Amino acid sequence: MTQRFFTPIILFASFMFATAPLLIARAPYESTMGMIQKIFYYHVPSAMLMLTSCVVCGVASARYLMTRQKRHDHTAVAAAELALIFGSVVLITGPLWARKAWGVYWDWDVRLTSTLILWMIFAAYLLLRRFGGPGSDRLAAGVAIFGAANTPFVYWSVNVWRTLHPKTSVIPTLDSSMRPAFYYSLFAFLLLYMALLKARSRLEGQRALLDEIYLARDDED
Amino acid sequence: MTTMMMTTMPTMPTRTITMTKIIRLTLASLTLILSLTSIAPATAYAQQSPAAAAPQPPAATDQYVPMDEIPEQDKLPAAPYLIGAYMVAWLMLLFYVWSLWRRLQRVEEELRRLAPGGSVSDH
Repeated sequence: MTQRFFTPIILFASFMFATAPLLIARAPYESTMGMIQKIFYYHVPSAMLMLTSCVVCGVASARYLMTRQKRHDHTAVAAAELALIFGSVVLITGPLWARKAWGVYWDWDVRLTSTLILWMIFAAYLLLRRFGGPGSDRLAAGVAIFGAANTPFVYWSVNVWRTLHPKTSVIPTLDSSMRPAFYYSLFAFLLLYMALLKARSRLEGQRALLDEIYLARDDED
Repeated sequence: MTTMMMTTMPTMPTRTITMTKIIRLTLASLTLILSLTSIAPATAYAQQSPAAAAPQPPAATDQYVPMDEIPEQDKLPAAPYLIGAYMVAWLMLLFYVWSLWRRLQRVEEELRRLAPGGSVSDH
């Protein structure tokens, strides 16, 4: 994705975010949960992007360990930060939904707990990058691969264990009247994610360039 | 000394990047959208009618009691949670875009200050 495509993507994503609430407001109420179910249109896309970002971070880290090309490391850092951001949205909107639907903010069931652990793994990744010192990039890459390997378990956990959380069959069996709002919202989140991933990777690249300049100056002194 | 520094520094294209401008534009757009989005849950709340909120009740299970079978005094209002969730999502994303813009701006300014041509490279 080049600079040429970045601006249209971010503008289009902003337009979609502006218009998505209109579709969400028009979507019908779910029969048992009523209005609170409308959190679904932000909660589920955020969760999907959190899991996607964890996989992106893991794959980029693996490629970094294999090739030692810095651009893969920059992508991994960007993806880890976005996994944390979208994960935070999931872990805040979910309990707000649960309070109304289940009567409690939190339940230590397998989906909620495994999502929290996954979030903590990527928080650990970023802490390691921030405070780990020299060589922490390779160690953090290992943590990212471990986190990415956990992702399928988080996704599939609701189908294996008995849990309060809905199963993965919700999206395929979603009522046709709710689909436009959901897919529209999902696409808006996806565009925003791509733009943020690109911008954050660029920031990491610029920081690396800055480090190179300072190192070059130190060598001269 | 200056000549030596310039020869050892990484090469940089002279094209000026407007990433911070784009991020600033995004931030402005998202602020506008946030205000629009905050209207949506309120619209949804206004649309809610007793008939729409309580259609055919499904059979109760041992784990879950449908909302329309709960006594009225035990029901929690949905709107504060819904509006709260949307606001949290939007504020977090806005804060992140703002923070990203600040960090990019700071780094690019520093690069511009250090770079010989006064420009930052495209990554």
